[in-house]
Amino acid sequence: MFRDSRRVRQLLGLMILTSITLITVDYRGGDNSPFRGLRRSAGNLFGPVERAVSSAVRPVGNALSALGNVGNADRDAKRLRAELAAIEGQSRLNDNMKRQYDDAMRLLNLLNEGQYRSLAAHVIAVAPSNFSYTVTLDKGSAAGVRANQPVVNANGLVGRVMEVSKFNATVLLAIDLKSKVAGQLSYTGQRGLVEGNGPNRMKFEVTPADTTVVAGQAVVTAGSLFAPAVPIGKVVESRSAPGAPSRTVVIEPYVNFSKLDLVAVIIKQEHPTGPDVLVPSDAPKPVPSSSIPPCPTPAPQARSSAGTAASADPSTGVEPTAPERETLAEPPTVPCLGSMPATTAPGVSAGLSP
Amino acid sequence: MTGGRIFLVFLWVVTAIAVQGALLSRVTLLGPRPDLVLVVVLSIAFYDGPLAGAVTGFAAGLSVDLLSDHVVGVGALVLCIAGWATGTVRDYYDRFSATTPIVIVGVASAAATLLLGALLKLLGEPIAWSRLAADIPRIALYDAVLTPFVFAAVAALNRRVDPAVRQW
Repeated sequence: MFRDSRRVRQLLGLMILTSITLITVDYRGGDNSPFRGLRRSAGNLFGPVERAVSSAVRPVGNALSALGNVGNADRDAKRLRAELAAIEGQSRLNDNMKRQYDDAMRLLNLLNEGQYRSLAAHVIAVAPSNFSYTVTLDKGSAAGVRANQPVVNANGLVGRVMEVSKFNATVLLAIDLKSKVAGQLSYTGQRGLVEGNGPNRMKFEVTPADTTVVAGQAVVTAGSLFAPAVPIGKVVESRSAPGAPSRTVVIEPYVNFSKLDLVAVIIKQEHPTGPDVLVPSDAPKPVPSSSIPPCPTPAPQARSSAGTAASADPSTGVEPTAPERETLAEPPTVPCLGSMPATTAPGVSAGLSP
Repeated sequence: MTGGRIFLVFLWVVTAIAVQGALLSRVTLLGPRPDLVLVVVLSIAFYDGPLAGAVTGFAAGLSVDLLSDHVVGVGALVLCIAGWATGTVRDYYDRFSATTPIVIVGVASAAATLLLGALLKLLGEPIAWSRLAADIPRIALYDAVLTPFVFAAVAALNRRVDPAVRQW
């Protein structure tokens, strides 16, 4: 009875029609697709099974992935030895730079401590498809994971949370073809978009096209989604077509995406995370108007000192604009403290007069 | 198809999806991975004919769609057609050598992956043809290598649960 070809054909036609309807509905729905809830339930349903299988086969999986990398071991050892030598020299320099960086950060109070916390999670499954690069984590909304939160591991950026169910979360890896992350060059701060390219190296589109890019330079995250600069990868090569507005940089990710296991979800505690946006690095920070103390009349001292600074202007050229901009960037404190202008202004004018 | 067999097929598909996600995808995340779910669907189509193949393919494909990030329905469509086609082709054979299923699974894998890639590309996934061309032979090869093991396991369980099921 099951071999009745007419009935088989009818059922086959029905299922093909259903598939095409599903494709149409999901495709047209985009982000508001009615299947989002169903995806979440599927995650909930398969989560426990995958967790069980994952914990049972983790040693086997690790052994197998080690087996896949065995051919590279010798070459890796040579390369690592050379890199270590270079890094040892670099690290002395870096210690000093790190101290300066820490001081600067503390001074600027840019990194609000306690604003972020990280949540450790294990990768329990990888997408069962050859065309998507996502992983499933063993932590979900019950542990505080929300959509769009960045995921990192010890080496750098892994991706961002795409879908959350109660006890699981799906992470869109940074190498997925759909992944786009705001990045910047670590030395110059030039910004651009880092795009995943599947198993190939990532692409980093940076503007303008004449940006200097050096091989080996690090690319880190930029923008509001990833507050601390999370390392993404290092520059391998860069090229730009004549007349193109941007330069395409090929970067090698720091994270080994074939061996993902322990990762951390970065949870921003106070403000809900929004989509990542490209903000020019020198854009003035918005200051909430209520926090600025009223500043009725500037002290006469301040006015006169400002006058001397202005009179010193023509002799030195355009130099004074820089200190002026810095005082503008922090309007609430400096001009309104009263005693401050008296102490700073002579310093400024003394510095300007030759 | 008895109730016990339907349950067995369901169990097979769930196991295949879990093992695919937890083990096989971990082995070579970069580059193509063997498609265990497809091989299991084809093995069921082989034993139970085109209808069972199509229904199992549809259900398994839909599950894979919901667990991946691509458009829902694509995997269901491809696996449904692959299951039906394999079951139909199998009916034209009277006798089998041990290599017949291996060859059929290899060819079906290549065709299914090509169809899946082409459909996803049509729906806007940035998949390069060159990558498809490089990946398809490897996926087909991996799946062909998996075939004897999956078929042997399915046959062993079949004999235990439902001795009436046809053998090859």
